[in-house]
Amino acid sequence: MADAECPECASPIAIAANTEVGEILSCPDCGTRLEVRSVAPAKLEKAPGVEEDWGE
Amino acid sequence: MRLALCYTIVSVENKMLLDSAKKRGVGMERLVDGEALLAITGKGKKEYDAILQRSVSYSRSQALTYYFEKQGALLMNSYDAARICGDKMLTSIELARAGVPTPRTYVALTPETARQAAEKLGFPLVMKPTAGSWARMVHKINDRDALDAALESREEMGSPSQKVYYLQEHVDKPGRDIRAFVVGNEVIAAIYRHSTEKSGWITNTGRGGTASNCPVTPELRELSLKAVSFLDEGIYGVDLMESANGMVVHEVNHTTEFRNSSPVTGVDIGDKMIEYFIKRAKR
Repeated sequence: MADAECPECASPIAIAANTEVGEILSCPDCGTRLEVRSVAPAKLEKAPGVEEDWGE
Repeated sequence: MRLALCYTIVSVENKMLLDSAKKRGVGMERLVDGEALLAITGKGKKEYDAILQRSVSYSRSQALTYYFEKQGALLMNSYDAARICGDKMLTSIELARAGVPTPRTYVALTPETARQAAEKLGFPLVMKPTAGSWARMVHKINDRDALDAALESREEMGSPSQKVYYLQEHVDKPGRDIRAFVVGNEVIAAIYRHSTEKSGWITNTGRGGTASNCPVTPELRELSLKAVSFLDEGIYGVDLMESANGMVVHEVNHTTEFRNSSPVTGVDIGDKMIEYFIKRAKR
C-alpha cells in the first residue's frame, strides 16, 4: 500500500498493492476520476473524460 | 504464441481477464490502444497471434482491429462484427434480416424526417445515437414537444454523428431487461437489469440499474444465438426486452461488461471468456 496525492484537491489517496498503471480511481474526498500513471512511485492524473464513442 | 489484451483503460473487467489468464498460466501482453503506433506502410510483420479487443473507444478499436487483422492476427471480436455491433442502425438491419424479433425502428437524417418517423411509431418512442453506449443520450420521448426539443438540441449541439436520428418504438417492459452473455456457441449466463429510482426508465447498471440472475431458458438461448448468427463467432452481450408479444432483441454489444454479472449469476464470466479466447487462439 502506497500513498499518492489527488492532483485536484491534494488529499492523500491509498494505492492498493495490486493497483495497475492505467487503472481509474476516484478520489474519496473530491470524487475526481483519476488515472494511475505510475505505481512506484505512485502518481495520479485526472482521468480522461468519457468520449462520445466510448461504450461496450 | 503471442496473445494480447487491448484496452483503453484498466477497467475492473480487464483486471479480471488478466487475472484469469495469469491463473491459467497463459501470458497475455497488454496493448494500450492510446500508446499504439501503427506503421501503415511498413512490411506489416505479424506482431500478435490473437488479441482480445476491449477498447472502450470505438474509433480506436476499429483502427487497431483492422490493422492487426490485416497482419494476420485473430481479433476477438472481429472488425466486421465490431463495426455492426458498434452502430445501432447496422445492428437493427442485421437483426431484422436474420429474422430476430426486434423493436420497430426508423433512421432519419434530418429533423423533418425524424418527425415523419415519429408519426409512424407513435409516442412514447425512444431516440438514441447510433454509436455510444451506457444509455448516453438515449431518450424516452413522450410527445411531439419533447421530440422537437430533443431534435433542436441535437441539431444545435450535436456532432454530425448525433444528427443521425435512430428512433425506435418504446417497449413497455416490466421494469427490467435482459443481458445474455454469448461465448462462442454457448449462452454462458444472463442477468436481469432492473430499473431503479436512480436510473429512471433506463436499466443500465452503469447508470444505477441493478442486476439479478436470469435463468437461461431454451427460448432465451435460441434467441441470443440467433442474434449473433450474422456475426463472426466471438464474445457478445445480447440485450433483450420482454414485450407483450414475447422477447425482442434491441442491441448486441461487442465488448460486453460483466463486473456486476458474475456475482449474481455465479458464473465466472471473465474466466469463460479467457478460456474460449485461448481455445480459439490455438485453433
